[in-house]
Amino acid sequence: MRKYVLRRLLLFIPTLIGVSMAVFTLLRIIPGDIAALILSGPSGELTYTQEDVDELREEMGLNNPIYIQYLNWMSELLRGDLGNSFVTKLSIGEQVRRQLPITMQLAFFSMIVISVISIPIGVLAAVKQDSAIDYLLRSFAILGLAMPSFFVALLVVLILSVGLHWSAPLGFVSLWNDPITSFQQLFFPAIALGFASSGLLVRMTRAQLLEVLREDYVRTARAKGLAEGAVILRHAVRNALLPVITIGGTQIGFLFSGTVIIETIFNIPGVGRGLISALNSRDLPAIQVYIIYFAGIALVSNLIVDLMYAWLDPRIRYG
Amino acid sequence: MFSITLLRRLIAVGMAAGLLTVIACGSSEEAAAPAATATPTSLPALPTIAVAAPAATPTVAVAAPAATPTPKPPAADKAVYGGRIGKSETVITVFDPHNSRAGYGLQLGMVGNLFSQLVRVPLDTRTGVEGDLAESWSISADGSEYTFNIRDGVVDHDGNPLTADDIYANMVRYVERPNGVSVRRQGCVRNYVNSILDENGKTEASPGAEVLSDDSIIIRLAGPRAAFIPCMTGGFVMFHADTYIKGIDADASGENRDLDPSKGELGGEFGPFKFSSVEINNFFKVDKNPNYYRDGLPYLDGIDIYEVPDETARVAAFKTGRIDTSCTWVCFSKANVESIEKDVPGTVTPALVAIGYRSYQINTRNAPFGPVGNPDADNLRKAINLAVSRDVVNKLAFDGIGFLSPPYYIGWDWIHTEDEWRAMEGYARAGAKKDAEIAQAKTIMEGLGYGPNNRLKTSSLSATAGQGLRENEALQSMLSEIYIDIEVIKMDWATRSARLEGFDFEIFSDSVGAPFVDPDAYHTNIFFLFEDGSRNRTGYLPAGWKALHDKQTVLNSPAERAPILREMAAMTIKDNFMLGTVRPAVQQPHRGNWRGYVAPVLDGSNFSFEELWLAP
Repeated sequence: MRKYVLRRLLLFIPTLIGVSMAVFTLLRIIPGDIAALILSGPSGELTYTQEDVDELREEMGLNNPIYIQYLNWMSELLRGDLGNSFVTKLSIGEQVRRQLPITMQLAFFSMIVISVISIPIGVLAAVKQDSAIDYLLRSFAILGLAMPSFFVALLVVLILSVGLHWSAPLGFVSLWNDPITSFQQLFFPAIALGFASSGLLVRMTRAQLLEVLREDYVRTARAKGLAEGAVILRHAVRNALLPVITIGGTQIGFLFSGTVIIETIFNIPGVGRGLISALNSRDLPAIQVYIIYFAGIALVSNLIVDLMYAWLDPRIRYG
Repeated sequence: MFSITLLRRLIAVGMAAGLLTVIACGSSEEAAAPAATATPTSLPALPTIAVAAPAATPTVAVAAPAATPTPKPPAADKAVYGGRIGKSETVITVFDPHNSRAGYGLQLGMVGNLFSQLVRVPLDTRTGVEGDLAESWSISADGSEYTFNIRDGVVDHDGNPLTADDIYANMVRYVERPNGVSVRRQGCVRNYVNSILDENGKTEASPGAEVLSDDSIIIRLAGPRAAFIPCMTGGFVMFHADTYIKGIDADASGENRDLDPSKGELGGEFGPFKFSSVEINNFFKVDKNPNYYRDGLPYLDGIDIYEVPDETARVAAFKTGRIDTSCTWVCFSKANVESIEKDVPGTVTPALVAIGYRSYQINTRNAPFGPVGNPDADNLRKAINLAVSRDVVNKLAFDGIGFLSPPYYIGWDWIHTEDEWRAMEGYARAGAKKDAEIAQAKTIMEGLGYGPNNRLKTSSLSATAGQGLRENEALQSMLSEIYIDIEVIKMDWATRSARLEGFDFEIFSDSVGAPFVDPDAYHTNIFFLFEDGSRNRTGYLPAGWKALHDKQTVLNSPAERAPILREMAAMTIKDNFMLGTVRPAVQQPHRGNWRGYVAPVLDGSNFSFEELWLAP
């Protein structure tokens, strides 16, 4: 097991190097002058001279060959220096440290929403198989799968602001400083973010539970005269949840990537909004760091899922 | 056995997740309470035009248009103190007023609120000029030296008195850019004012700024310049104490850095509001400055500014009372403004004139549109100008809220009135005269051998979406009538600018803001050739235009300048290389309970809320 984990961790290195090279190169070969973009302002309206452009290019190190730029960046990265933003000149490391807790809060809230929504609904759908309730709940699941999270987010904003004349307080606050306000700020984004994953998990829970309910030990439990609730909750659901948890784990990466849009629409100053802002201003060093962060999240979440699978089911061993 | 293990491990996973959340939570501030809404509404108006007065001592006037339908309070209405307003900006990151990397809106929006100016456009009329940190000023006989007398009793937010040394430190920043401070949005100061320091950091023989005493400073220009005072009133030209900037400018690392609010470096300002708290990419709050140098002001207790990059979120925040006004720069589409006005009764929406120029630039370096002087190319450009209906562009691209945009239009009625512009070739209003112009364009094209079966193929570089794309599509549609097929090539600004720098285009639509209210802003930003530091990429500048430009820059009197500027305008119109079209207004809705507020001219004056008070 230890060997397996070590091997997987070592594999992170070439993967992340590959991602970094691809991102670094792609960002620099796309047409357009970043210096001109920065100088021209938010709507391309501001004026600048060629001297300004040359000066800024030099300042940003864009006149060096790409491989030199890459090596410089990597050497800084290995020393733990994520560099400074081209646009604001602020430390990207500090920026990410500020944004990451916010995104993690959102993702955690979303995971809670997913669990609270999908598992009971999936169980109910399985127990009431082929009834009107089952069809209704499956429709809900399909709706979750069919609607992209940004669309759900826009619908939520629209319903809240126009229908209920309410929007979350502005100025993000942490859960520990002001739990009520923080809850108001995170609840609806968490729903929008988790809705699609909920759809998937409802279907998974239902399918797994139906399979388990046909197992011999469930029949035995019923034959022993146990109440139906106890059979389902104590015997069937627990075993049915194992693959659900595994699939749920794979949704971590999905959730974090979903924050890119959700944080922008719901005005949450996390990593996702940071990426959008960096992309809009072609803030290359920031974009590079954010992409590596998202790649890292995907790698780590996949590893955690694999490890959790083995940990939760002692019959499974790696390596 | 398995189920117990499973349960235990699930609990462990839950606890780990809980711990993760504990780690995840950082610090923050309390959220804004929804704001009150109130009364009246009115419609955007066309800009009014102010005439600049002739120069005498402190009266070099700036003509500032004000498209401000803000309701005048009834006579019985007495200003009341108190209340905060909420505002959105698209980005909150950089806090140095001289750093052009700062969020455009935050920076401009804080001038007049956190930061002060030396001279400014009066807030109530939005026309002319008045002293801000300067009490008075005088101009030397040759018009190249300005002596400013500093206002008495001004203290910064730390409580330190304002001296001429503070003004000097700011002037050094503008002109010398120590440690690479960007100050690109204040380029006119740098362009007009003499060098202050030589290469070794020693004061020049005739420096651009020199402290005469604690309360007076002389600013020397490279030559007389009518536009100097208007430049100083520009929305980005601001002054603060040298307390913190001095250290940054003298930093041995040789690199400029931003003011750091967490180290208390926002305290050297003089404005009506002082820094209260900030979280980067989240919010920025300012409170009333009790020591403000204008007695009795400001009325508000403070301003809370939130970073809200997404328009949907901004609309929701406005409708639900979380913010009371929009961003400093473009914030809402016309459709969203209408939706806000419908859902929030009493909303007032001033249409701010964003001074500048919007045009179709035609590349005259190559055939078929150049060179200028080639009869076929000249006729082709003339036909295009005749076929372009500015009203159609306004309707198709700008939802009908645009302003005509020939050179020297907005704010310069003393050069040409709108009626005079409308009488010029190509600028006719939609109707019989415009129809005749289009027919004439068609005839010209037929004379050049084009027709339904022999259409001219060309292309225009366009934005990928929004107004920029729509104005190109409008051109495509209008020129189709005169046998010209335009391929609209969509690309983002960075990609377009690379093509433009290589002059690899035939037509492109450009939009440039002017940073201060004077025709000189147009010249330096727009009409000079790109190679000379301007936005004119057509490869053409009419012969004699530069000589006229130089002639009028030294004349302070509008009466003397106007005929020369009229001549220059005629030159730019005649050759049809930059076709002025329409500039959109920036709609800035605010709640109807605002009193005493007259909306500014974008870029051309400051955004102070010091005279704003909230009707109960």
